[in-house]
Amino acid sequence: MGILANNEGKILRSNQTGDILKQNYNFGNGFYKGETTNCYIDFPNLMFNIQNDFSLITWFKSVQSDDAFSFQWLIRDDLDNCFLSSYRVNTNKSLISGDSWNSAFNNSYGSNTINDTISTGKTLTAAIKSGSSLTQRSDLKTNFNPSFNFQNTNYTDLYLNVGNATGGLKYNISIIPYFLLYSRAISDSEYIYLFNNKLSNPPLSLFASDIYLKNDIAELFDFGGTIGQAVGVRDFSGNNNHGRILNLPAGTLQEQLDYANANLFELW
Amino acid sequence: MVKTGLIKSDNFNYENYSEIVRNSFKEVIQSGITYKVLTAFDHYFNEHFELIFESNEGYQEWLKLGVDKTITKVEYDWDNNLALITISDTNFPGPHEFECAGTWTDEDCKNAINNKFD
Repeated sequence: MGILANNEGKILRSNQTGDILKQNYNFGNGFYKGETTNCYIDFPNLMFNIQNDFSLITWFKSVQSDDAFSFQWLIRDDLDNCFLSSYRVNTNKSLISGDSWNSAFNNSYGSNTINDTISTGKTLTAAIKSGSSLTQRSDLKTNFNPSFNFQNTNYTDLYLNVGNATGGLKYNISIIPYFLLYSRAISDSEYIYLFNNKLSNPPLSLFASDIYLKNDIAELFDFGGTIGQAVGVRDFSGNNNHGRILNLPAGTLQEQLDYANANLFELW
Repeated sequence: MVKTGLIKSDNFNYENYSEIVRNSFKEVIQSGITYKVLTAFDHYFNEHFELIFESNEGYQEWLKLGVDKTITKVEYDWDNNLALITISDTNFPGPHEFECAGTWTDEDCKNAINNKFD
């Protein structure tokens, strides 16, 4: 398979079109719930205050299906009201290649859905909150401020989930190999570094990172409290904010671990 | 092999099931009847289940047979020409999305939901 350069100087593989990574990067596996499970990841030990600055970053790949949405992460309340989420909308289901997708952020308490057409299956996306503004970026073409209103929501009991959506099984058809939460607004240069390099290198800095998931394999963790031991994915930020995989079939821990590793991770 | 099994809540007896899975039952409502539901590895299923589905897809199809189609909220997304309809059903509340060019009547909304869950 030959390597070609397009007129923007980006290096493409000859059997593909669009804006793709420059080499066989080292993400390895990503979390993938598939179309028949409703498994997702939560963070039982995370102390996350949405009123402070934060950045949520993920690499993901939407998997073609007949469904309208694929979610990557969301922040929800106890009643499954979605407060903030990252998802893609398939606006042209008739396309065989499925290359025409939109990326959107949604605050279901307002009307801040903004779409931006992008043309790659593998995408880096980020939500960056600085002060009272929220910036969403899905690639270098996108940088906007949806005038997010942080005053109209009760901030207690909000939960961060990866690979979950409140709409049911048909959503979340994304492979998610990389997920980061910072308790600070990352700079433009950090974001551009992540996207431009397209090498899947580790981020420039893990300073003030709260969660860093690589989603390669499932492991057993002791989450303490009423949860105890459970199947999850490792947090590499050093904060022990390991993710717990929910909605696994009932069984022993070993059965659940084997099931997770056999069914919930796909090569990105 | 993973299966999903159900028992009407009125018939549920905690001690009939393996201690490994007996705390993993959840409740689900279908056609107004409350069931205890368990998704587990197949060797945990015994004669005390009233319904067993070999696949999650089959279980979801069964849930759709008893959807409460009462409409509770209708919103529109004119950026994408979508009607967003929420219904009372606890398993598929929505909002369910339908392409639309203008504001719908109540009848339009009912027809859209009925068509989706026929």
